[in-house]
Amino acid sequence: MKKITNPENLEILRNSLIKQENPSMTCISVCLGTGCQASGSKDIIESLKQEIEKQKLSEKIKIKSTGCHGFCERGPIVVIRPRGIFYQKVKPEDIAEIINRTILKGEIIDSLLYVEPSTGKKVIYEHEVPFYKKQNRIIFGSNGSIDPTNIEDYIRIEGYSALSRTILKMSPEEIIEEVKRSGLRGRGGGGFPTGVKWESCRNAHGEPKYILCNADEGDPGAFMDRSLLEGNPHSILEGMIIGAYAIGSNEGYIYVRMEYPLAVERLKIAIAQAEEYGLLGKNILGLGFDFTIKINRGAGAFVCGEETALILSIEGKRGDPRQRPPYPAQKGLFGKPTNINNVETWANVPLIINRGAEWYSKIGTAESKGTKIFSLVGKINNTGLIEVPMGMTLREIIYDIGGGIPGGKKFKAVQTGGPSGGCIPEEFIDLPVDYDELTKVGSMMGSGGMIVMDENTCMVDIAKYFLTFLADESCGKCVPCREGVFRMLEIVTDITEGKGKEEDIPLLEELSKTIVDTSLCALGGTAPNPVISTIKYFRSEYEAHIKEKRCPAGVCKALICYEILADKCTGCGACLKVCPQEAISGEKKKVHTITQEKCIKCGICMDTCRFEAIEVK
Amino acid sequence: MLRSDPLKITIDGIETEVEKETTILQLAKKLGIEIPTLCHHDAISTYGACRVCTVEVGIPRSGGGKRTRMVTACNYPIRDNGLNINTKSERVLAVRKMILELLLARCPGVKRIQDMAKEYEITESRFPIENPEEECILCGLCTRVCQEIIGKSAISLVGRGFERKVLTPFDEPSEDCIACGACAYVCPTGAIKIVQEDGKLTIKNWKTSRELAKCLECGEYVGSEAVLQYIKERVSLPEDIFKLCEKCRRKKLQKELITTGK
Repeated sequence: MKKITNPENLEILRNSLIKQENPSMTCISVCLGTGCQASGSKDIIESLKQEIEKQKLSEKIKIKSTGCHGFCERGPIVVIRPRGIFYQKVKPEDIAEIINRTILKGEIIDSLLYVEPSTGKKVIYEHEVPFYKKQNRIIFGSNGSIDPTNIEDYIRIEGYSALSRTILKMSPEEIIEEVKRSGLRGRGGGGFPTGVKWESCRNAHGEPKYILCNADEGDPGAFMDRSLLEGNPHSILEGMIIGAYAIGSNEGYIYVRMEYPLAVERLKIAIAQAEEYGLLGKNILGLGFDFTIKINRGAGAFVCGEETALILSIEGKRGDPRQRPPYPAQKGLFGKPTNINNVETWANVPLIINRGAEWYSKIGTAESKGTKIFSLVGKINNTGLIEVPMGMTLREIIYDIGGGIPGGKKFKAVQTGGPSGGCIPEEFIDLPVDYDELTKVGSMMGSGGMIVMDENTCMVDIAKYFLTFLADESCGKCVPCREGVFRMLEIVTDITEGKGKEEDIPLLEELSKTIVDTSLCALGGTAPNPVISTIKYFRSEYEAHIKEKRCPAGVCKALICYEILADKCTGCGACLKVCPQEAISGEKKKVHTITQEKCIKCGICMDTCRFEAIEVK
Repeated sequence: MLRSDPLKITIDGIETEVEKETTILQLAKKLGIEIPTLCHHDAISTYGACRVCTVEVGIPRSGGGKRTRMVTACNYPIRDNGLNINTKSERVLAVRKMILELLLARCPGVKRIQDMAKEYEITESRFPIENPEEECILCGLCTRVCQEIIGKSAISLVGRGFERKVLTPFDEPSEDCIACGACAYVCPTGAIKIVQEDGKLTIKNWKTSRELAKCLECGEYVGSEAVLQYIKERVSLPEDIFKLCEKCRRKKLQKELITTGK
């Protein structure tokens, strides 16, 4: 490919790519996101290739390996276009049938369709799947239709048109104004207005200036940035180049965690292709603007997602946060003005330029514009990534898109905002989700994690889980976070082990206040949130653990025991066989019993019993 | 840089004027207002790790009113006219107490921590003691002095969270450490132990020993050989400084003065 040396040639290339594309040709899209790969989508691609070759159909059928479609629960996902037939949980042995029946005869294979759990109705087409129906996938939607390793796929769908428009027709100030008017706020957690951030970096004294992309996504259960990096890397590059032009920078870094090898690989390919096409590097599109992007891999410390720690880490130093001010916009990477935005924020930029701030600001609520990608995980039927307009209620997200709680269990709480977010109870299920509403109820947007919990979740245990994570990931620089979070974990652990004392709850609250007030960075400053919010909304559960030495949800091992119900036990011996401790005894066809001293409360007996004869007490 | 007009601010009810970018701690020292510190040293860059110098500030909003924040006095630069600083508010005292209580649980045997805690009426911590021998509060003064003042970076912080420690690389005897003792000198808790035995100076924490140089006149120890060598390479000083102890140098100088005086 020859370098594109001017914006007209980019349009010529785009038009020819659109013309080349035969809209009626069958295209089989296979999700190669991390989730679907884990469920075997690579084998599906192989089987597809073999089958197509065997039947000599390569002229008629195109295979497309795409990034994450979002509906990870149902992976591997295969979409057959242009009809849009949606097959889920596809296995390599289904491929021959898909080719023979669906592709060649136009028949639908019933067994591969998605079944709506509530109605039992089978859904044929992708756009009719309830999981997608209520979403507004303006950022994430392209993932399912482009090959992330092929820049031409991205160019075909308007890719890099925002870049050429901005450099050609807009002054840096106009771009910043446009981003400001769109109302875009940082998607990494802080929610700071992006345009304002850009402006303060543009106006800061000092050269050179740096542009950073924070791809150090570390929240447990969150993988939206990962899926964007893997599924549509060019949208992030394009956003960064536009930002660089607006701010006046010629050098950018993407800080991506080592645990995302596929994201790194796709980014490398994307950067190389963008350079080859003249969209990155020296004299971009022949318009006299230079910008390079380097990839910097993080070694896995959660705290390196904090901007000042991230900057030190790129410099090759220990990733400890430092006091702000000075903010990175004034003194950032190598002491120079630096603008840092999260992956999703960057991906929003080309869209704002292409469709305009007016259009963008119509999506969302008064103070939170646009859409947000959430990773919907935990006790939810439709695990996956969803993109919804700001302001959608938790109920719509959890029930309409998420398909509700598995096993007909009751919803208990949803944890938003990553490990240092808060748990939101059922009374707020109709809360519209945006930056400010989440903060009001003691949680936060964070980077967009959403962990759903059912009635069998112990909230003290949940607080312990997040504290364990945070105590482990605290850098240890400042006293309140290092010592304080550790002490909170100590106390909460004692409570779950039946060693809680009456004064523990007030002590936890006292500690929380100090940690929130005095921690050096946001990791510490928000670390007590899981405890504060669970005490606020589920105080009685803490009290049951402390006063009655009882875990109401039946989770905390020290406070529960398994018992066999005499009226239900058939004496089948299944539990006896699986018990690793040989703690169950009983003769065949007679009621069995558990020797409590031997029991390690692993729960395998309860899982095995087919007669619901084992109970947690 | 141009000097801007001084800012009018209030600290503990006292109205005063202050140069922009002055830290709250610098201002407080000038006015004789005591703010406790542990990880701060005037000669070393600020770090903001111990948080005992936390104070409450009211920052004026552009639209009127004030926004209250808790900041560390050691590294908070005064930039706003009308800033209201409170170094002893109820909120400040509450967090300071808690921080000292946490530190007392970490280092129960350290006199400086005990004394500071006592000033805030804390004699015992409600938290269990993990290691009664622990003396290091991880203030990072030793690592900063070694890097910034000595220029050696022989020690560094390693590990994360509660497991954080100050160590030499791989906890092995250091090749870079010259046993200058600056780390022990700045340590606020006396956690760094230096012993002098068998003609050697040993910093126990760093498992590092350096030969001691002897005075050519009296045979008294002058200091660590490595330190003398390190200084020699950097500054030009009379040779005597590296060969004689302080006493003998004085004697020699006296002699010379008397001789030349004649």
